[in-house]
Amino acid sequence: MELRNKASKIIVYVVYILVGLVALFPIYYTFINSIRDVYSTPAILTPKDYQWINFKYAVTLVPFFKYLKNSFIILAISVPFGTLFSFLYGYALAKLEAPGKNLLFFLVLSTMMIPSFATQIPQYIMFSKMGITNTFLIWVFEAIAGSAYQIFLCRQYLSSLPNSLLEAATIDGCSEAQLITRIALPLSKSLIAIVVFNLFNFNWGDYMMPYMYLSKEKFPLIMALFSSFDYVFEGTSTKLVPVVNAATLLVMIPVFIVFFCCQKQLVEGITAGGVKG
Amino acid sequence: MKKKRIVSKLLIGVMLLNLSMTSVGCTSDGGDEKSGEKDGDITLTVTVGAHEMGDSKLYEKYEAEHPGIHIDVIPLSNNDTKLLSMIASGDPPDIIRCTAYDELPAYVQRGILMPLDDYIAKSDNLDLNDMYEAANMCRFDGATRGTGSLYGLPKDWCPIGLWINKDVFAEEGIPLPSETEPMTWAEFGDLAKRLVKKDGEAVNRHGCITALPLPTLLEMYLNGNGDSLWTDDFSSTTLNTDATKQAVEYFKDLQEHAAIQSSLYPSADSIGNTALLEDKTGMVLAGYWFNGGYAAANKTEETLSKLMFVPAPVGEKEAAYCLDMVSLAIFSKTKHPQEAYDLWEYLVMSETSAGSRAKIGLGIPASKKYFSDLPKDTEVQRQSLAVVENYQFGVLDLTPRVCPYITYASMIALFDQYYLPVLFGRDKLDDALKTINSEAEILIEEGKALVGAE
Amino acid sequence: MRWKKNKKKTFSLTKNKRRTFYIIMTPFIVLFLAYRLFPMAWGVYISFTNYSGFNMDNLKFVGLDNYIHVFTDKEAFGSLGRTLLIGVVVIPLTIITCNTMAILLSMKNKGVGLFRTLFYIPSIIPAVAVGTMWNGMFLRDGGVINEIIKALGGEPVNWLGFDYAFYALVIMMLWGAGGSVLNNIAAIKNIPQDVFEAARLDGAGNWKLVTKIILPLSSTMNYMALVTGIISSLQLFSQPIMLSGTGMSTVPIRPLYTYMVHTYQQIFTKLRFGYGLALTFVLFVIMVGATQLNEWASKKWVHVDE
Repeated sequence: MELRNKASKIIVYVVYILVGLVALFPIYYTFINSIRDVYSTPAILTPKDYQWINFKYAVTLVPFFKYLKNSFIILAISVPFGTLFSFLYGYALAKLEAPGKNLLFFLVLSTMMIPSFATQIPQYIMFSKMGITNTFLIWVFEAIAGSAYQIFLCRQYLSSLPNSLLEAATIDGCSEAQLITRIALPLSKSLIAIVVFNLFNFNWGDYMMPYMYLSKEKFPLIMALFSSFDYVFEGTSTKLVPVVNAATLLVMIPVFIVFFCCQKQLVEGITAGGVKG
Repeated sequence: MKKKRIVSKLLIGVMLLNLSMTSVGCTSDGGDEKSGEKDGDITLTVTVGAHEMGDSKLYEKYEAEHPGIHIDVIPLSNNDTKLLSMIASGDPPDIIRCTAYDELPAYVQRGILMPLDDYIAKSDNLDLNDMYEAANMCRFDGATRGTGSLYGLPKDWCPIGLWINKDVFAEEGIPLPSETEPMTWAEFGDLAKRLVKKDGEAVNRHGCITALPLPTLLEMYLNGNGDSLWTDDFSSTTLNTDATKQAVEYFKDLQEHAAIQSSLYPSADSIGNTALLEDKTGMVLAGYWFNGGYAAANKTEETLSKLMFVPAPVGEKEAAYCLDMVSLAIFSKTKHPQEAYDLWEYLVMSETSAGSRAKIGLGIPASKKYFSDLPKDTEVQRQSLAVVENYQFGVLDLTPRVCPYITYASMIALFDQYYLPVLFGRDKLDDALKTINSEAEILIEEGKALVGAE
Repeated sequence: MRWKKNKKKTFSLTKNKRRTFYIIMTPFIVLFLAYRLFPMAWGVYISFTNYSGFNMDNLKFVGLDNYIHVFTDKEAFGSLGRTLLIGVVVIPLTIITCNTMAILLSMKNKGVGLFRTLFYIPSIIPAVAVGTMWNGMFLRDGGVINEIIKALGGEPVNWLGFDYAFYALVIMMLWGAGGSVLNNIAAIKNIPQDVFEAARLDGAGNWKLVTKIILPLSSTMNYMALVTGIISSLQLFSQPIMLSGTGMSTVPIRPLYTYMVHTYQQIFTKLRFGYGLALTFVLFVIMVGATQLNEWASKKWVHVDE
């Protein structure tokens, strides 16, 4: 949709800027509170101090590069596997017909309906009996089992794909597999971008799974940066809010970059794809 | 259309490549683990963070000295899911962190902790005669603290005292409290109210900040008058007695005047050491350990010169109480009791561990032999240590009680749930205390049934 | 002739589609049975016992006691009511915000990519940090929000106290509402440009484009936002906890004491696992009901290309 008159365009820009400021302010707030003294009360609107050393604490209180490597292993499993399987499940639930489909969709949703803290203990027992605690295999299973939200998202997106298009392709001699690779996938660039980004964002920032199933040798970065709310600092178990703030800003940088890349895919949308032609 | 096909093939190709790469990554990683760990090697799991223990290379050093032993640290958060999961899966941690005041009795009741007396008797390194009396906080016989088997030792300890900001006292023209004569609770209450600085409804300065939860404050107050928050047989609370109600009203009155922080007049700093330095509170009810935090944060002597440490307020009897005391204990179902004990001894007693902690000033070491290592570089370090040594050691009191049949966290939770609305005028105090009492009674009954007590 | 051939083909096609469906869903089914089902079944089993976290080798069956307790627990109902109230306020506001922003951010304006990134910032701040941040901003004395109110001549309030905590929570949640805005943008971008052009030629104004084209064609995403919104708001737990401060076992002030907070308290603070899990499964049944109701109602407003 494009706006034709100037006045409404100006209004839109005013909204952009207001919303942008509201969204950005907390980042600014986190920033001015990341450079205050470790032992001080929060800064309000302007920096109270310039303790850049907090950024150093954020990375030196933990074995930074070792943990970074672990983060990358987790991402390298979760993002591609997760995207692939969420897409396939979403496609099957949206575009294929078979008995039991509704039940399966309900099962997907049901995994969202039980809080994770209620299933953590049995899951731990199960992994422990399988002997896979403290391995990254858990993330492989997690990705293949699929994230309910991503499957739901793929199903919703793909259900608005015109059936006529798939039928036409079938008449042209496409097999079922080709329908996915030649029709659905090329038309789902923005969907893939969103799913990739969601999975990246979630797995980069998730500390519950690593906390539960990994030992300190295999912790990803987030776990180290936010390990257990109470940040322990040279013997005092005080929560070092400024250091946590500094860590927060550092942790966000990769997510920012990935977001910026993914959102470019979004701009193209489906209109650049094959529907028109 | 052709171009699109290539794109989609590329996408799938990249995915597959990723898959194969990650699976290689997995197996090679698993391989590393196994090659590092030989048959007969033992992994001990510890729920204490290295940073909290002074020397951050503590575990690495132990592993180097003891080939074949691996130490895995679980940083326990406020959420104990992992601990419970490990216990439920029959793979419990070996050494656990617990606070001697509020957690240890309940843990002992549930059979989680291993009595250490036999191991200590066999050990050459650890002599209980070297220990301060406070170590007896870790003794529990199922009903009374201080007697029975020893289940742990503190990583360090310190009685509650009162930190004061001399600048604030000077500004208000209030004479400084005595370092040798504790004030009464009544005097403390008046003082805390006078130190509050309000600008209209805004509170610029609290009278006193304390991280102690209300049930602990109540027990501290009541113990001074020979009472307790709990009935003699721990089957109920005393919230329906006049003595306890009066204690609750005392603290409620202080909270309503911003003389003590609460959700009614919250403070940006719930521990108090920061607010104290910024003149945002006149006093903080806390122990000697503030020294360790200030030293770690590189606070200069000049910044700290406004601080002073004095005895905590008392009731009818003089007393200095330990109301938390982080301790280490051994899990009763550990698969390697002797190895766990050796590591435990290293963590609570060794020069590397306890010695390094003493040097920071995080608390008084459990063993008398490290007392001389406590820091004496700044005036406030010397002054606070003198109060501990000259006053608190003499009147150390381990009699405050905690009901062993319920988790202390649930008592705190009951107060948060039912008492806080009273502060906002949403409930009547009497009704709230009745509810807390009856809920606590139910929990106690359930707890007794679980441990098979009468 | 041709018609006949087609019919035969359609038959083999459905068979084909069925086969493809099962092939694709096999890993899901296998992992669901092997991986997701056990924890749920364990939970159901535990909800009939007196499990306390430490008595695994000494479990006692208590029959339906835990479930009976749910229906006699005043706090369970009180907290469920509060949870519903928060959901009723937050879900519609979130969906409205998301749609409005999606429409504005899917326009081909200069710099829209930058604003899209800005708008998405709240969703990429790690959840742990969000609580600390808002906690500081909502401080009664020395919090930035009260300072701004004061500067504008208003009366500062105790945001995290009994009277205002609800509003503080709603503000925090709305600020993070952009999480699903990408989905809506994608749905809008999915609409072929010629649909808009044709409507323009028919003389449709902006409002018409929104109500007649964008909203109907975004309805699949809005349906999802509604379903996931209901599921997650009934399970509302971490936001009230984070806003209240110190850790998972914090008891938030009463207006923020939600059903899941109550459940968590039972399990981890009071060590009533059996009861906590019974509470969980009662909520599960409520959620299944709500989702089914939604599914039925969705037939009236969700646009699906069949």
